[in-house]
Amino acid sequence: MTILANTYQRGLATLLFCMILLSSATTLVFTLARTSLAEHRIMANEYRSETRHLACETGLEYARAWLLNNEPAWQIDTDGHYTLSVPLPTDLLQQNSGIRVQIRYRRQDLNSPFIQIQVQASRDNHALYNIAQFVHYQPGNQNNTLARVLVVPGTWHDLGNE
Amino acid sequence: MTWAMNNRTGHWHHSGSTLIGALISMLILSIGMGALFSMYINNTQNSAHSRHVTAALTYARARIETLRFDSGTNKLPLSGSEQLQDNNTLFQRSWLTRENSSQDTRHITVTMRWQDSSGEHQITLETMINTATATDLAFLEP
Repeated sequence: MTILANTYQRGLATLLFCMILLSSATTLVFTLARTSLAEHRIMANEYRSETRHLACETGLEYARAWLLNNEPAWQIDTDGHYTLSVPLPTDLLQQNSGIRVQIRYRRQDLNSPFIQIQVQASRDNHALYNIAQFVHYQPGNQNNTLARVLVVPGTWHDLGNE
Repeated sequence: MTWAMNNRTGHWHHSGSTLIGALISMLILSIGMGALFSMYINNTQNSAHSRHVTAALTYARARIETLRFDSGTNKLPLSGSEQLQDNNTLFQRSWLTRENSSQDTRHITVTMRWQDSSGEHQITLETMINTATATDLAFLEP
């Protein structure tokens, strides 16, 4: 009986040892996989956020440059604000294919020097990112043809993906 | 494996079962460990890739910011390439700027390339800057 019991216990011990070893290793690797997945998600989020943010910044810079170099023809909208309809160049973004940038210019009234520029980055008509910035606009005149556009400090807003 | 009856107890038992059991356990363990090891290698590669992309993004962003604030002074060439060593990885940073003088804008594209155990990778960031920043600065003066 003693011999038999010892024989069975040796097998059981091996089995238990293997199972414990395997389950420990599995737990360890799965924990590592979760960490790795979290790292991957953070990286992907950062990359997406950076490309969208840069797309919006591109729109903002383009809007400022456009105001400097063009004569804006303001139109009143249904809310009583003055807006601009500016066609964007097709090569505004070359590498971020699929990301579309839309720019909106808003002004309370024609006497106000402040213009709000809102830029939206979207893909497949789904808003990805929105930013807004106020600029102080001084149009050029016949004596001094240069218009001036100054970014109003502290008015940069991250509107998220509203 | 041979089966024999114990004379004292009258129970059947099989001699050699412990060895075979151990071998089967070893086989199962080795298959499991092999799968886990492969998963571990995969995880390590993914983790390294994430780290490399994050580093590449930082370097690309830094170059865009340098070009943005360098637009007035032009210390940096409008296009160029350089190598950067980050831990054990060699990154190739290339940038290209395209002027649009009619709109006072400059289009910037920064590409980061690197190679690791899972192959060659690259990311590209692009933006546009308004080169008329000097006008803004002049406006600030009384």
